Amino acid sequence: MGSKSSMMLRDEEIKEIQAETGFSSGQIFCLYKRFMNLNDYNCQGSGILLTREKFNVIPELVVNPLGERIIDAFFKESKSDCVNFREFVRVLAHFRPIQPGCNNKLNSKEEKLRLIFNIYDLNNDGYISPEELQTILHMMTGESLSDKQKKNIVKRTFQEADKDNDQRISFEEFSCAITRDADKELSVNFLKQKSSSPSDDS
Amino acid sequence: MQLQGSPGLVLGWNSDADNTYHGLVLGWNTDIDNPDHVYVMLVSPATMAVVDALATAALTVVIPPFLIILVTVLVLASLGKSLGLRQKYVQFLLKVFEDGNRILVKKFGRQRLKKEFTRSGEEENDEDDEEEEQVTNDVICRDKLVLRPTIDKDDTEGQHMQREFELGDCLDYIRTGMEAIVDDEVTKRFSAEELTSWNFLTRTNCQYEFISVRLTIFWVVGFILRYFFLLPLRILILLIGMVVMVTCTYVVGCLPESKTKRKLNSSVSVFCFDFLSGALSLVCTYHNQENVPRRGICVANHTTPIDVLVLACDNTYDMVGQRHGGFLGIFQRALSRASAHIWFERSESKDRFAVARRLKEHVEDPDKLPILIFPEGTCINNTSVMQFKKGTFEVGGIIYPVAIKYDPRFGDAFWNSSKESMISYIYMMMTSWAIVCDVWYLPPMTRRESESSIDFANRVKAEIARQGGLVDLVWDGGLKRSAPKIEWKHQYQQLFSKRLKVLNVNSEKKVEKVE
Repeated sequence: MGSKSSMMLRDEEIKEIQAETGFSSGQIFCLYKRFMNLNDYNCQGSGILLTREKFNVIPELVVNPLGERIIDAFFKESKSDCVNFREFVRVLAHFRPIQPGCNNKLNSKEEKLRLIFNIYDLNNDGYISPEELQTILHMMTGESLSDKQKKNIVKRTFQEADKDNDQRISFEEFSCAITRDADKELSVNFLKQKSSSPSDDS
Repeated sequence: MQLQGSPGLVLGWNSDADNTYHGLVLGWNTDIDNPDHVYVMLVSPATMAVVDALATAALTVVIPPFLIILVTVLVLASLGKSLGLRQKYVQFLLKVFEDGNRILVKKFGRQRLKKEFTRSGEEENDEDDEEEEQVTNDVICRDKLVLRPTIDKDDTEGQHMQREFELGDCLDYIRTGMEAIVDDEVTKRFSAEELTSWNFLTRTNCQYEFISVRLTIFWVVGFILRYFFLLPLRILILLIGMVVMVTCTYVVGCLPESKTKRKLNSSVSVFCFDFLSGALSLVCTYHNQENVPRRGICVANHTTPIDVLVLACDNTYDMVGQRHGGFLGIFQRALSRASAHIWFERSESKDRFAVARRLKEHVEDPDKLPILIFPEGTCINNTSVMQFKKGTFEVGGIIYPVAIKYDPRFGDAFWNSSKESMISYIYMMMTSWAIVCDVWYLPPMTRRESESSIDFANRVKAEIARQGGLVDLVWDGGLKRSAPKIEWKHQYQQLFSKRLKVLNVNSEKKVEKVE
């Protein structure tokens, strides 16, 4: 496995990604290995771009009720049906814990919430409509709730969240409605990594 | 000269004293009645002399040393284990690895390499790092929700605390999904285990060999040793071993069924497998030999077909499996002659009742050997144990669990059959340093009264995982080839729905929020 995922990233690229996302070079290296592994996992002709089916080899993601929408978040970033490594890392950077005094461009509280908002916002118009909320609710509950019950939940949620009563939820209304601590809930515990090259002191 | 024979090619020796030519005659006889119509090609005496000389040379010069080498190899391979040659070789390799590690540590500083590999007793002094340095292979640490194909019982404890739906309810799923994208439990089980330090094989790391002159020399020497000395030797041992095995099993198979035959089969089988293990420089340490299975069913975790070799070097088993063609098929047919192994046709193996019946018959016969089964059904990379298929555990009888753990520093034994063919896998194995493993025989287990076979299977799996230091996973090893099932999503959808306080369909009243 080691020799297949040889470093095809140049040092400048790593520095660029570091500046953009705030990951350390060791973490970038690990993510790159992961990216390449997903690429040629049981696939004969591997490119250097991830497609939807390559995400779907991860069993935990397939079991996840919102798995499809999570994958969509990557394709929204890439605006095509393939994801390259820069886009891959950029989306994952949203889930870095907020560190005081550090590069927090992509993982600020607002950015985290915006990613979640985009998961709800199916048609990318900047607002969550009742139909979109119903679709997401259907993904999370499946057949366990009847349509009527889902409609009721959507109605109640809109009553609470939609402050200006325009029958759609904007990003500001959404941010207010999230009562849980976005930083704690939306942070992945990335571990410190060994440096990827001898010259790098991290 | 007289040429006799049917029309066509004739080969003869002309010894007619009256004729000028003595020697080999090769010709084409077109008309048997008319010898004049024969066209012949004469092999000249000079050529004959050359051929003669070559033959003599071969017989006197080349063959005897070859025979000597052959005999030495045979002797070494048979006795190699008892002489401890392989163990000494492995110890020597460990010293070399440590040496190499020291060079790497000097070059990159201690942070570079995992603490375990530095000499014990040397404490690190990280003045520049106040927090604990977690130098590990893991990318992330997961301490919250992880999704699995079956929900743990304690996940349902919050069931009675229902709350209203909130927009923030999806946060858990999204975070765990992202964690899974970065590092999930399953996909990494189907590729070779990552080493934390280099073992001088380029297949494990591509950067290290040009770091320092000394390391490069180590690597080059190692390369020459492995490819030009060990590899031909191992191939030779393999070929001879196969011949030996086929012959011996044939001989044993000729005997009538009796206690003598069984004893002979045991000793012959252990000898043959021991011999073959020389082809891989297999060094195996068997622990807890008081628990060696004598009958019943033996289950073990599966990493490679070499597992069979490892276990059969110490004890005799009857094996179960699908009938293969080719290389493995030769072994299967040979073994079947001497003992009652259970081989299935591919179609038959799908019929679970037929399989269970044959297993049961075998287990209940007191004269038969223990059956060796790998309940995972496929090869996993020896970092974890995946779901055990319950079929074996329904048969009844005593189960003897065995844990096998390979040391990846000397050569990674994992075989991904969907990526590597058998031949290229064997080639990789034969060009590794050695195959070093530990085998633990665990105390026998039987199914309890109230236990289902699935629970029993999980109990055995947990024991094996615990002993071997492997991760115990609920996931099915079949995920190596097939896609995950969409239905597994349903249970999480159900769980989430149960936690939601939903309005009664008939009433429109708002229900009070429960804090």
